Order: sequence, then C-alpha cells, then structure tokens
Amino acid sequence: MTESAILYDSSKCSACKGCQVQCKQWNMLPSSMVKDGYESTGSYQSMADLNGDTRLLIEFREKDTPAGVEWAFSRRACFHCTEPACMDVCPVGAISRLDDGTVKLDSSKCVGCKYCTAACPFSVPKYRENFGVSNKCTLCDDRVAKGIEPACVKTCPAAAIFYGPRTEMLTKGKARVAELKVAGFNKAELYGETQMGGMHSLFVAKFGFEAHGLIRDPKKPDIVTLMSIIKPLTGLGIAAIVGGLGISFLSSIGYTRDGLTEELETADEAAKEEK
Amino acid sequence: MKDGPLTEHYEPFESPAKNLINGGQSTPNLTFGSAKSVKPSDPKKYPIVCTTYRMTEHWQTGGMTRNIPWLAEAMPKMFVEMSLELAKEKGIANGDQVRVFNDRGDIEMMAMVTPRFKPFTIDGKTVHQVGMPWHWGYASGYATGAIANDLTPNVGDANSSIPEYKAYLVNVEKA
Repeated sequence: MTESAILYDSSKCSACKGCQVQCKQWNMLPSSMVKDGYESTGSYQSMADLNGDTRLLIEFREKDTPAGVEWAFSRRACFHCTEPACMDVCPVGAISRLDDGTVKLDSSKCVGCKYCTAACPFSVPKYRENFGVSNKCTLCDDRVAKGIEPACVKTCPAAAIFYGPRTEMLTKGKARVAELKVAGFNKAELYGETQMGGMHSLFVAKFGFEAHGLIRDPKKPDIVTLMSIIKPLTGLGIAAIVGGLGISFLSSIGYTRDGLTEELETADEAAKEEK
Repeated sequence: MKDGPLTEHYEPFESPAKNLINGGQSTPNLTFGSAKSVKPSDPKKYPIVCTTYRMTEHWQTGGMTRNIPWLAEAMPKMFVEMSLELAKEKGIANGDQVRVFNDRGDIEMMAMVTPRFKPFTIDGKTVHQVGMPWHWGYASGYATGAIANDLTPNVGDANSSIPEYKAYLVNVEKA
C-alpha cells in the first residue's frame, strides 16, 4: 500500500480553527460544559496545549520584525512518524503503524500508562482522564478506510490542508516552499520530510521552523533507545525465571519433606487429646 | 444619496482627528445624531480610538455559538486588543483585567497586548487604537463576557442607518 500523508500549508491557513472543531465533532470529543470554565491563553489560541479531548490545535505565534508582524500559525497534532517513539515504548502494543504510515493508538488496548506522552518528542499523545487512556490523532483511519479524506482536510475553507499519497504531498509541499521563497519568505521550509524517519503529516512553515514552534531536529529520547534494548532483555529474563521455576517444579515431583507427615499426625493426636 | 450626489469623506461621529478633506467634520445627515442617549465622547477625556469586529468562532452576539461547547472553548473570553505602547503607558500586561469606558458605558474584560496593533501618528500626535469583538453577553452560553455595544454610539449613517460601531472613542485603565 502506498504511504499517505497530510500536508498543512501555514501560508494558506487563516487560523479559523475549523479543523480543530471538526476534529472534535467527527471523533466525538467533548468540550467542557462548565459555564465560563475554559482557560484563556491571552491570545487567539484556544488552549495552551492539546489535551485528552483535543487531538488538533491551531497555535498562534507572533513576532514583531522590521518587515512587519510575522503571525505564524501552526497545526499541532500527531506527525505520524515513520520511527514513532510512542510505539517503541508502549508496553501493551496499543500503538501500531498501519500500512499507509498512520500511527494508530488503539484505545481498547491502552492501559493509560502515559509512557507515549513522555516518549514523544512533541508530547502529542495526551491522557484522557475520564476514559483512562491516551488519545491522539488517528489520521481519521475510519474515514480513510471508506475512501474519504480526514475530517480536518474536508472542512478546511482555506484549502490549507491536503491529503494524498506521501510522495505527491512532498512534491506539492516543496513546490509551495519554492513559491514562498520567490514571494520573499526566505525562511520558508518544509517540515516532516526526513524528521523522525519521515512524517506522515507534512508542514509548510512560512516563517521557518522556529517561528512555528517546530523542533528542528527531533530525536527519540535516549530512554526509548535504551528501552528497545532492555525490552528483549527483560523478555529473556522473564523466560529464564519462568523456565527456572518450571525446571524446579519438574525436578521436585515426588519429593516429600522429611518429618512433615509425622508432625501433622502428632498435631492431630494432640488435638484429640485436648477434647 | 442623502449626504450628497457623490461619495464624500467625513470623520466618524466621534473622532480625535480633524477632517482636512472638506469643511465638515462628520456628516450633517447622521440619523440619530441628536438623540440624548448618544452622549458623545469628548476626545480630550477619551483619546483612544476603539473599533469592534467579529471572530470566526462566533456569530453575532453569540446567542447560538456561545451555546455550543466546541465553539465556546475555541474562543472563550471577551478581550480588548491593544498595542505594546499603549499597554506600557497604562501599565497593563497581557491577560490583565482592564476597564474600557466612555460616557455611555463601562465594561471590564481581558487585555490582549499584541504587536499587531500599532499607534497612529495623526497631526503630529500619537493616537492609540484598541479593538474588541462584540460576541459576548451575560444571558446565556458556556462562555459569557462583557458587551461591546455598551460603549458604541447609536448613530446611523445617512443612507441606510447602519450604526457607527467601527469607530468611536474610549479610555482604558487597569481594572
């Protein structure tokens, strides 16, 4: 199966948050219903970060430059890495990579240990308090399986989010970066081509990675690499323990402890005498 | 056209600037200009230009959109945007609760200090501008807030009586 990807173009995005709301609607993720119970970020941004009920967030960053104000928008959601750190650390195998490159979190298997949140260089998976599981973008695999584009792509009124074969999206993204450079946005870059082994959510960063809050060179935390060594070792250790116990059991068949039977009899007799 | 055969420039009903284009200051054909409830703001007392606008998350006064949790969460709070320069002058930090007022009203909301707002230089003087959305109210909804139209003048343009809610005068202070 060919690999698919989302392409987000921050230079076309109007930051209307349509994708943010549509994501919640399609995936049936609620917002608080406490009157005036929402946090405020002091900017147009809805909340400080993703949360258990929010898989996609439009972020606002602004910088005053001599050439004018750089208002950088970012679509914060799972990047669907080819080498996902979250998948490596998941102790129950709830996170898997689908054929099209989507990194899927199966909430029915998730035990809510939050290892994925800690391992992800972008802290994308978030713990969903009332369900006791982690939550993150699924790239709308349910829609994609039916041949429909993801909900955020479908709803974008500015045509700033695209979905299609990854090779096509890469070409499209690179062409847009070249266009932006000609238009005078010298720092324009495409995010996700090589990062974390190649991402399945690409990002045209109009003002450069830093301006959009993207990590230039994301790396799996060392502990994740360590875990990939420790995991098979632990497996071996457990096998050795279970095997050892097995051998111990087999070798002890027919063994009776000296004196044990007599002691029991004595105890029984003593009890009779008391009566 | 009630205010002349050709389009003409007039300053808003309340303006810190003089109309240099023609003899008139504001249009003589304002529809509610003489109503008592207007209480025009004196530019000396209220030197800051205020404007109102909409956000994509809400519609009109939010009667519907503030009752939808997804949308209320997307843009939860009434705010007033102002330049870094004005905020410094008034001792206001981003996220502070501020009071915006004129003779017609007095409302409190969160300050959003941003470089997207810049002071103007008009006739050699620095004139500040603030801006606020008007989607909030107290009657219903998951997100409530101050009502921008408590401050706006009820004057209408000569031809269609469209209220002049996009340009009027206020003052700002830390609440």
